[in-house]
Amino acid sequence: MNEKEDQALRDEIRALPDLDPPPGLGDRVVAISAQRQPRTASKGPLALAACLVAAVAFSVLMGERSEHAGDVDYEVLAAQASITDLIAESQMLEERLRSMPFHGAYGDTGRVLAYRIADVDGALNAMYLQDVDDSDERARLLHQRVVLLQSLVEVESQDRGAAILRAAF
Amino acid sequence: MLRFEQQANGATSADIFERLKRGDRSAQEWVYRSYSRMVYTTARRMLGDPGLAEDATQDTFVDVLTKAGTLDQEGALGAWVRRIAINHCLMRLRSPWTRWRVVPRSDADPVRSDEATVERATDLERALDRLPPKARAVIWLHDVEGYTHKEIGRLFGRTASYSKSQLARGYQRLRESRTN
Repeated sequence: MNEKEDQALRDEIRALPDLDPPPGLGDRVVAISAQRQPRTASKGPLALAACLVAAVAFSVLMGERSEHAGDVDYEVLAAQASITDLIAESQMLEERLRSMPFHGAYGDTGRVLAYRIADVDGALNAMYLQDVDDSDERARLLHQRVVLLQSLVEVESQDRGAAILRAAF
Repeated sequence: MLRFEQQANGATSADIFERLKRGDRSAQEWVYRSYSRMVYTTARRMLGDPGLAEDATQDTFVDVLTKAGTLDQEGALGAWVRRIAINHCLMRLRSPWTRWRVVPRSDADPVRSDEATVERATDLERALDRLPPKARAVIWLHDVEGYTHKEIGRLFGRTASYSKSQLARGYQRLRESRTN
């Protein structure tokens, strides 16, 4: 009986209509792709300069973050931590997030951070699916994940604190 | 565009890859127009959320257009595009950080291509959207894309038994939700 019903369902699923993608998506794809085309030789110095600016900005950001984070120096963490340590740190931060009230109902900043974490997870998953064995890259991504999670914990703590104050007064 | 479409009728995948490699805008548009419905439909059915499906479709075509010149592509262009799309969907399904975004929602899709089938399909689509994300993806991969349980198990980093049990549970839930 179930097999017949399953087959009927299967036929219905296969017959579901195709869906059109949202209008404008194609233009966006072409625009993003044009930006991501491999650099030509003449753009090399420009790309290098952009990387340097990004690196300096990141260092400044990390410096500020270290002051606020207090007990964790992420630059040292990146250099020294093993993959196991990074996974443990990641899990500990996830646990902290799960224990927070309204877990998952992020504000705007939290949502952006959550999307970036999803991108990192996507890259880690892609390495797994494609059997890429690159421990340096994996450690780099895991470190990025820890930094993003730490930021999310901080942002959510501040947002929730402010929300509670607003509700109380 | 028209000229490329006329040429594309007799073009091989290798020809199109070659044009994509050169950044040929008309070839890029042709590839998007030829495969975007297939990719978006796959993503929408697997992920159950229009926003996630749009993201996955965008990432798929950005990969297709930017990597066409850097990878060794063998076989048909459509199969290559489909494989990339499924990988992007799986990445999202495996990520705990996108899972919280996956909420049942059936009313935010763009206009359907075939209005006559809407009424019949809507009930089933809602039931599919209410399934747990992985069960829905397993049903789609197995029943529509033709993957074996062994292949699906590997895609999820699990075994063939995992795929079989997800499929059975998914069908059970579909049957229940349609009789309620």
